[in-house]
Amino acid sequence: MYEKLGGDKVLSVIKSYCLENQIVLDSTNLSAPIFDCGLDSLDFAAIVALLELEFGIDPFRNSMEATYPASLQEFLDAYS
Amino acid sequence: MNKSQTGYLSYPDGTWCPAAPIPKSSEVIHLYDQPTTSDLLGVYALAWPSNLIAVAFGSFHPSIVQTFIREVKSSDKTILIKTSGTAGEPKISVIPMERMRRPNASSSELTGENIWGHFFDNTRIAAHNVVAHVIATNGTIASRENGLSYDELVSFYRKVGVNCISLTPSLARRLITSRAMSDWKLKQITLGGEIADQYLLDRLGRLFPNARVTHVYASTENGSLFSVSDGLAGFPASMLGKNVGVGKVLTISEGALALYDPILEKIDVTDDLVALDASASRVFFRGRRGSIINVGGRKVSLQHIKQVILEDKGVLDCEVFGLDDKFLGNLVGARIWLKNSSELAKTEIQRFLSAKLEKWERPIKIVWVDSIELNSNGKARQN
Repeated sequence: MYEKLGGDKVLSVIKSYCLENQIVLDSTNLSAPIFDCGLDSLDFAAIVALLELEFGIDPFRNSMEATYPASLQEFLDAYS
Repeated sequence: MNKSQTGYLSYPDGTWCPAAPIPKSSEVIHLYDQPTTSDLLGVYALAWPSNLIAVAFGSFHPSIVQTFIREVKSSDKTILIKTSGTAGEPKISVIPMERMRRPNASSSELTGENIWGHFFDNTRIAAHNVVAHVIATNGTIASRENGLSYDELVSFYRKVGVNCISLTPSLARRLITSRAMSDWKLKQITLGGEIADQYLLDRLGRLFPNARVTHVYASTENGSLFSVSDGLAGFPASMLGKNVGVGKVLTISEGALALYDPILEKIDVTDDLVALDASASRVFFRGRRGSIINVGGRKVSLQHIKQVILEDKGVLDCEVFGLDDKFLGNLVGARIWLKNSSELAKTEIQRFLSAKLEKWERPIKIVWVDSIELNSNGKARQN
């Protein structure tokens, strides 16, 4: 059982990543489809990798298939 | 200074003396656990005693030596040596002694007195290639103690008047940054064992304007195949289709450098990936097979990323590697050693990479390190 991260902490890492990579993140509607918020599949994979490297947490580790969360909210919930 | 009949001298501890001869005993195998350069000179330059059929360099498990002894024939003249790439454990190779006595491929010879010093482990083939080259070109080589640090080796070589050196690109980068080589009056710098990038070649050209900078391509099986001294990375495409001195023709196959044997009509494909530039006039090395990773369906060359990172003036050295990723297959990671490890310097390099690399090429995770470890041959360790 790993330590849970708060959604705020994860969002903070996402925003940091977007700033470094000059991505305009739309986090106004967290329920919108995940790839409508300004991130693409590479960004998503990078953020998951960064969160694992930094906090040792990867909620997708044990999933049999690599399935993207439907929305940004679902992504944040995976860590909460 | 008196030169022996063979035209060389060994030079241990700053004094001149002849090379150490192989003992003319009844042994059929002679083992050098920790050979000196003088020992190498003795093996390759002096008369090979008729009863001696094989020499082993390095420390081997007894079972390996026993197998070697059983398998060598009285007509063989072979050496047993460890060879290695940049990753994994060294492999054990048996090489015909004649190959080491053949002059190495080289461009026009240097005039004047050439006093060589190498930075390789004497049990590795790179050191033997240098010794063979010195013998073939009637040069002189400094014979130093084993176990010296790189800086001590530089000091010793400078003290005894070495003006030609042979080392890996990783070590060259290291020595440049430590200023150990400042104002060294070199006439020849030979790089081998790793890809020589343009940035390093340019830096060496600026720091040593009177030196010829050469990078050599060699393989364990065939020895030194060709050298390039035009100051540019890669090699001219005009060399393709030409004989490279082992009776084989240089070519490209499956995206890698290959050697075609016209007599056996056989092609040996190396693990060195290459590509022609846009004008098809230059061939560049793209890294070893296995150094191309797949990031979300896009092929990414780790060697290319490494070369871009090295272009930043704030970077001393780096390693680039693939990270497994369940969504995209791989992502790129890097260990970077900066001259100045301030937050500003880190931000600057990341901005530099954002401008120079495609999104899928940019390292997702950068680990800032204080050094990049080199193996005993001066090659960067790969993880």
